[in-house]
Amino acid sequence: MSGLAGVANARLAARLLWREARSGELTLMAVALVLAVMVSTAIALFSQRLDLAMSASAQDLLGADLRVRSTTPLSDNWQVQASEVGLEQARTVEFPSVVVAGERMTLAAIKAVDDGYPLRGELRVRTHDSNSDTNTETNSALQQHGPGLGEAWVEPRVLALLGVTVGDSLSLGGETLRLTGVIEKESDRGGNFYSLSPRVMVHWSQVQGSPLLGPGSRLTYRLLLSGPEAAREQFAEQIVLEANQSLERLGDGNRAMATSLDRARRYLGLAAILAVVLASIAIAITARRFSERHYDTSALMRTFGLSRTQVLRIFLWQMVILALVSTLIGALAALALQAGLMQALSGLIPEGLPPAGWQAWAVGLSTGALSLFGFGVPHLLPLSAVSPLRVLRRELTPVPLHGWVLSLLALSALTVLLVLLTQDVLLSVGLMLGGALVLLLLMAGLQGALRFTGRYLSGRALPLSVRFAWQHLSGHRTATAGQVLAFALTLMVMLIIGLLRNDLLADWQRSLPQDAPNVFAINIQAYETEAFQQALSDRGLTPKPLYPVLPMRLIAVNQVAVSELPIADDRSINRDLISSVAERLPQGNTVTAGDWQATVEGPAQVSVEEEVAERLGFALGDVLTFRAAGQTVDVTIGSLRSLDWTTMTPNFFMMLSADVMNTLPLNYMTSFHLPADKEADFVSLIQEYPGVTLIDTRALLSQVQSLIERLTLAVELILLCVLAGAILVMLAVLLTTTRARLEEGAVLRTLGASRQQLIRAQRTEFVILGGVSALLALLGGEAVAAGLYLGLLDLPYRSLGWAWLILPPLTVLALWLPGQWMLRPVTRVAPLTVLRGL
Amino acid sequence: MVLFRLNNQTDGVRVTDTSQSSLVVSGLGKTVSGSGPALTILTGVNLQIKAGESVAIVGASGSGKSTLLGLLAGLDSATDGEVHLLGQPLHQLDEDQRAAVRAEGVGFVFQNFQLLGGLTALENVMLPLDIRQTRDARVQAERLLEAVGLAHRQGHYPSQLSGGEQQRVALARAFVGQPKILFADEPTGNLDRETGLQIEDLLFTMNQEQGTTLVLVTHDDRLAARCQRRLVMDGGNLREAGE
Repeated sequence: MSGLAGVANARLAARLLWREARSGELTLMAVALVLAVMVSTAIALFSQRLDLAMSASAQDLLGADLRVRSTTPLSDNWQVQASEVGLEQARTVEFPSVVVAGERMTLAAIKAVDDGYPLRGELRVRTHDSNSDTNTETNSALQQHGPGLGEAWVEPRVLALLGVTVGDSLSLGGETLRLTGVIEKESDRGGNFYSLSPRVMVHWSQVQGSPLLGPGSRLTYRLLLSGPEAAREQFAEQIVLEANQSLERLGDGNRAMATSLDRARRYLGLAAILAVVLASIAIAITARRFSERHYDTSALMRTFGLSRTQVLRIFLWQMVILALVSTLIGALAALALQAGLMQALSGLIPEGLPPAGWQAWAVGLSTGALSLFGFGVPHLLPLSAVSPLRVLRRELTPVPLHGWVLSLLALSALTVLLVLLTQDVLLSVGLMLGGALVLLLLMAGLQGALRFTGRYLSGRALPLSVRFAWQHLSGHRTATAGQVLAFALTLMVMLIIGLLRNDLLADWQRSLPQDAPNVFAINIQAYETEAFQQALSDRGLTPKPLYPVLPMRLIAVNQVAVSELPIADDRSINRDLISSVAERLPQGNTVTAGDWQATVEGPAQVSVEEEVAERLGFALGDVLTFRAAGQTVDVTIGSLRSLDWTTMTPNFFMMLSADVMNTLPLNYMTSFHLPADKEADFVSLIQEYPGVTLIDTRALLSQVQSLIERLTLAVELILLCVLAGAILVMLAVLLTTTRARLEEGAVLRTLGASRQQLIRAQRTEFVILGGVSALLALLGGEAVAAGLYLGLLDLPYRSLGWAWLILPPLTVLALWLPGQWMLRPVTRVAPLTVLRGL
Repeated sequence: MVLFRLNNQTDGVRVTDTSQSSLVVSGLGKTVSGSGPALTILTGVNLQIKAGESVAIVGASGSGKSTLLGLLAGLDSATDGEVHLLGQPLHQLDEDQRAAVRAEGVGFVFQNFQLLGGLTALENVMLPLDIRQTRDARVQAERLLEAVGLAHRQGHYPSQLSGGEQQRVALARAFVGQPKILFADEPTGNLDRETGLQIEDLLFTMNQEQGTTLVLVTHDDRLAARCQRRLVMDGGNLREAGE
């Protein structure tokens, strides 16, 4: 029986909903729901697919069950030990180097692999079919081994950078290789966020004994192992590791990548939440109006004999149907948005992510229900409390829920949403409190400004349009402040993102002197320093001074191992620091503490870059222990230096006195300026000195630029949703004031105002709202830009310029078009119709 | 001399001399069409009102009085016929042109006052002058508020005023632009008897002082009796009282 009644209620609800479908608030509520579901589902899908890729395929990402990582050649003993316990193995070595094809070249991430590779995971390569007559026929297949001797497999990016195709020749370290395959998937590629350069894969033997693996090269050797867990544990216990060597277990391989992806995901999640919150606010506002508009309907239903529960059920059913339909549409839109995010980040995230599971869909889709029932439905509850007597006495209005109950419900829904989307309770609660506090302060400031302006304007002769525009804006002070805040914050972030993407890097590059070095040459051996400098001079290139260098790893401070110090996780600890000899103070260096001359003279002294010293808590007189080239050296901090990173000349965190350094096998580095018309000389230099690694900073910067472009595109996609949310809030506020505006418009027209005058008043309102938002965004953007230029990059400050001209009119237009559409009845309906309805 | 003629025949005598008339209507009809059959509210209304005259339109509820008033004032457009208001052919004008005619010489008083809640009493009275972009709007509005005895309430909002006070503000607003013709729709309908009388007195006093033509719609026979002429609306037709 009750089931039948339920069906009847649902049917009646569906019919009523259908009749109401054209009313403004239901459309707006549906659009807001679609937006909320779309954004949160897209982010949930995106996150979960990344998570799955990170965890489910940890072996694939590691390319093994266990790895040994080293910056020096792998010990033969390890291979013997691994064989003894029955582990399968493969070796790889990775390093940056320049690859040349004809006149073109690119910095590449070289990976040399032996015959055991790949051990785990997938290596999918489109290879040239040697049986085919034509050069174009290729097939894509999972590979059981790496490229053969004399061959190179490359990422698709290399093809574009070098203008080559499969079958062409490449030059690496003076050797000519034939390009025989295009890498489509390399599951142990590692954190693509940090390896900006495209992959070139060659055979292990190709580089053994080559100058490419000279002592100054930035090499990463890996011994890949797979086998039963017991065998792996036995191996791990047996081997002895140096400071520059480590074991990488399942889950380690992708830690750096996981951290950066997690951060990216969280930022996207936060932006997404902003869109969801704004959509939810729009839902709350429209639900309230929907409720108030249906007091009469509810009273009528009661007089027809429906109980309070039945009345409530009918309205709740309407919301359920609305939520279902909107969620469905939102889910479909989420697929598109998620694909857009993937597209924007392609190349930065692993290829071929696994599909998301039901959990992600559940998180995303429950957003609709949470938004509607947390923000919207509480406003509908008074509908069940409407007295049937209202049919006779219209002033009988039900008491709405207390403000604090509404706020509590909304906050609870919001917290659940935050936890679901960020999957971090602490962060969510922190955000709720911190974010709420900051927003409340900003809101209070804006409201104060509105009140102050109102007081200033009161009694002043204002044009009619301005007076009405101001009256509308100040009449709903909280809503106005909220809208301005939402628009201004979103626009400001968009401005900063635009700045990051377009101008910042370019400005920095422009600020460098014309002849600033743009190529770093590292890994120059002691015996070839003179010849190399001569080679540069012969080509009309002027080298900066040569610096002797050596990678050194800090292992102890004041005789305490760094692993036992709180600084153990610092980024300067677990890597080789390229250190030099303290002879003369490099260009751009300033001694800020201690005595440089004493550091130069020794004995056993070191000069430390001051920011590193501060971060690691070093003071003059501290004793640092380094491990380098198989030796351990103790040095005392004799001076601190500040560096100017913008000189584009070699800079060093650590400079040790000559008495220590000269006992170690040093090699050299320098930098020089390569004019645009000397590309050919650069190529010949690479070919003449294959062992010297030449790092073209222009190429690096363009890779950074492309990374920034992709990241910002992804963020902008979400920000557009935030902007849409803010516009929905504005429309919801407009909708609730439509009746008052209709009345006002009718009276004004009765008194002789033309439609143009009314439209002008409306336009003025959007001009003020959009103009002030854009202005605040620009001011905020300028402040951040000033911080970036003056503080971070030490560049002369440059105003946002064009944005001042473009942003205000664009913002006004973006608000005015939907706003005008919403308010069109005000100018269209005959005044008599409105006046008679009042 | 026949200054006005009134009959229900669309082929009746058309008045050609409109020079001394505030309002000349001929063959006016209004039909509304919804989803069902078309509904005729007014049919073949002819009417002439001379300048300075006061005319009451009376009739039962739903007889079309307010619709007629709206059409006469150009607040809505008729289906048939012609309306010449202050010499302007409303039937040939679009909404904005009609608004310009209203701005220039028409005042209104409504049963439910229609003051704008967001504006003070003074600002409400200034409104017609603001629309016309009159320079000394404030001074004129203050003078009118004083005339209706509300100088001390000029900074108050409608919600802070009683019904009678609101209607006095509405009267001030109606007369501030020195209209040639004033339309009033049940001006005392929402007021108690005593307040209604005060408003009536004020309305007729100001009307006489300014020499305004007055067209009012009312249920109230006593109020109608104070007008020079009474017209009866009945089933969509208009006739002279007693005819």
